[in-house]
Amino acid sequence: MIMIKVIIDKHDLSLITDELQSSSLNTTSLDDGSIVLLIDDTSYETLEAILKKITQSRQQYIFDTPDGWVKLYIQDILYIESFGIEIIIHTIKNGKVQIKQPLYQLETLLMQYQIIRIGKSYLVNLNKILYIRPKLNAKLELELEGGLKIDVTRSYVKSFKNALGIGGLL
Amino acid sequence: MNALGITLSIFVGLIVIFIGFQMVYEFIWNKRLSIYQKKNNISHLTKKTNYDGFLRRSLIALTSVVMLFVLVVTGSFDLPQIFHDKTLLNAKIVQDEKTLRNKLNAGNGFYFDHFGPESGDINLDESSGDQASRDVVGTNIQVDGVDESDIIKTDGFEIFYTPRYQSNRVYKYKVESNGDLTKLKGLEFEDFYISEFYLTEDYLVIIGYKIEVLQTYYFGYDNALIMPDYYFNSYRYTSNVRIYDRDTLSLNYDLLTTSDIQTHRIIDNMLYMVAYNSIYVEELRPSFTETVDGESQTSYVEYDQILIFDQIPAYQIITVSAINLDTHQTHHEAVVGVSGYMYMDHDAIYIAGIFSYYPFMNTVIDGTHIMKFNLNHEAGTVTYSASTILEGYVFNQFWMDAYEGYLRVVTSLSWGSNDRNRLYILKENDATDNLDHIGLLDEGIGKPEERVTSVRFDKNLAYVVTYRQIDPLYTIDLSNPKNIKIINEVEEPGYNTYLHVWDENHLIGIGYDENFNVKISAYGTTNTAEPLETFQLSQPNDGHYVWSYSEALNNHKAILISPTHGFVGFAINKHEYSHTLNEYLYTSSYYLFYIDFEADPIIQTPHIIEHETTNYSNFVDRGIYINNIFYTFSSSSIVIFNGETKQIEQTYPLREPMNTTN
Repeated sequence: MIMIKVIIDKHDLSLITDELQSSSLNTTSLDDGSIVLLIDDTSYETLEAILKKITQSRQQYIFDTPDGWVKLYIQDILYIESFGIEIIIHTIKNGKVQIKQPLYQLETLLMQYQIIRIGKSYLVNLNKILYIRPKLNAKLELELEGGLKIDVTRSYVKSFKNALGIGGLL
Repeated sequence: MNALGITLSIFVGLIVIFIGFQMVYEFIWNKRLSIYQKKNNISHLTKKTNYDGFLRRSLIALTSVVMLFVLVVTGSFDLPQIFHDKTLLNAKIVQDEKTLRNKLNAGNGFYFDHFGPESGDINLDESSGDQASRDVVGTNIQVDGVDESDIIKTDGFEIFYTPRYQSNRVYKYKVESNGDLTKLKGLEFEDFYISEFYLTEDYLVIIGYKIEVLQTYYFGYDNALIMPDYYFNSYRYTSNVRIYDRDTLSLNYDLLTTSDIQTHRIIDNMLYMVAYNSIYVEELRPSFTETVDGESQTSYVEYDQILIFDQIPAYQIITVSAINLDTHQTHHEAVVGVSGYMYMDHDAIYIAGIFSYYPFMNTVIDGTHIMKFNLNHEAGTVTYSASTILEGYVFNQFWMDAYEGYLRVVTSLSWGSNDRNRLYILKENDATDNLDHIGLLDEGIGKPEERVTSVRFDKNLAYVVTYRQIDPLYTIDLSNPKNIKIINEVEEPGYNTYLHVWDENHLIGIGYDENFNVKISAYGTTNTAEPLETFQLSQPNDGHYVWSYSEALNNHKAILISPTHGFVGFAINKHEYSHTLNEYLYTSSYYLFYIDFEADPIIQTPHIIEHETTNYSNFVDRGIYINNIFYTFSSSSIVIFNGETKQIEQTYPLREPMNTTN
């Protein structure tokens, strides 16, 4: 039987409280605030989920801005908007960030991070959607974290549905 | 259901379907989202459920459905019904008992029937007619050729008379060529009271009440007596129409109805009548039991022949009937509404009913509901054709008149209000059951607070008398229905209750003077501010208190009038207190006035035809004119006055056994 000892940084603790509570893992707090998990082969799945979450939260991307380069956590991004020639990233912690890359490039680059196109001038982070509300004109209104509302235009409804990834399930 | 109803229903249906669809759609999308979030282990987001949205949509759907339901149930979308080629806008066909009961239960407003000034009736021309060679002035009727019933009828050859105080008898007299009367066998009933009757060429048509003793209650039994001390009976009065052969006085036809026969007319061989049915009986449909040759048959007015009006309270069920006197074929139609006064010309019956009800606190809806029923003499039918609601009240049959397709109506102000008197000109709509309002005069008829007391129409002129302190008589020009003008005004103390058109420029008015004694006035209708002449029947005389009254003030049929012969006659009853005898004296006599607008005085001193006064109740009822002889009738006697010699010629006693035939 193999035992794995995992040390989790204190900054990531808030991400995994759910998993820690729902599983019965042995935890030991260290002096610097980090914790140590002891994992045996019955808890691989939990470990996997924890690691995935931490990975996701650590995902960063470097954008080209008029003032130089800026590094943003993917999980901070709410949506990206093109406004005329300006491309603006709306984030949770850093507010608006103006960048230089065109939207179509960003679309391809960020697809792997579940940031997908929902309109001519919008990309949205799927992980930030709280609620979907169909509207009268066949658009979808997305309510994002923080209460922001943004529309999926008609021609992108299908790709939005595919991006949610369930295909023909529902 | 009409087009609007269908459109609205479809619209509401679509809204409901759409809302349901949207709710399902929304649910599916969020299910997708939650699956996605689960798959990607996104748990940091607060879950959100859109309760508000669901609630709001459900409310919208529910509200629209409820509104539609209410509109449909209240019949807002009902297709207008067609009734004898007329689109019904005002009336509705009942169709079944339930609808009728609902209407009756809903609409019992404050009963306001016959609650107004008894303004006198006015009348028009005598139903004279040149029968053979005899010159007759009979019942004073409103419309030439539309006969009205009375307690005396004659054709110049025979006279039929029912005294007011012997209403179970019909006396029949033959008028000899020298003017003498020969008594023929009459009719006497035990269980039938005569209201009034008609005389046609072949028939005597009697309208009255059949009386049945339902139960006798005995009280005060004393063992020593075989019969009880006192008892009383409960009676049932049933309206009854009886058609007798005029010569043999044999009963041809008998019609009993649960309704109360109120008013009727005869044109040729058609009897038209209006009856009111109580709404507090088990069987609501008015029923008629006809007996011919001993065989009885009961029929009902069917529900598809009964109409209701949404805006009119349900005081009575009014049945309008047409009865052919020859074939005994009947036709009935009924409406639920308010009873009132009836005016009939050759083409139609008009019924004006006063209503007043309180739908909410402190609001009152009142007015006059006028219904028109078209007559078809050949087919023997009477059919509802139009109606409307007028402001103010109609209190008399003479307040309505139809001329050249227009119905003209005068309404008096309502009680205790600062209302106005009005004159309407109405016309029946060709397509719908509406009486369209063509003209209205609501300024200048009467001073403030003056009520209308009498009205008379003469072709394009209307004469209206109003009263509070003084009597103005207005002449109103109706020749342009859209521009009605008052062209003359006459003032005089007292007021008239009856106006008679003498000729184009002259009127005779009968009414009260300022002391409430009977007076008769002669008027010019244009360019004059005062009556031409007034004759007061009771001259104030010293030491005597005099009070005079005449049935003529309330009943136009009590007036014998003929402009062509130039006379007016009616009975006057006087009470006079005599200081010398220290008691009241009652006199009843017939006053005959000769009137000539060319002469001076216009109203000549009347000839007073005295009747024997047997007791207080012996009033002179009526007078008739045949070949220059006046026959005046009271319960006690017939007094014959010769128009040529101006002398009383003969007196026949009346109180004697009935069955002595000549």
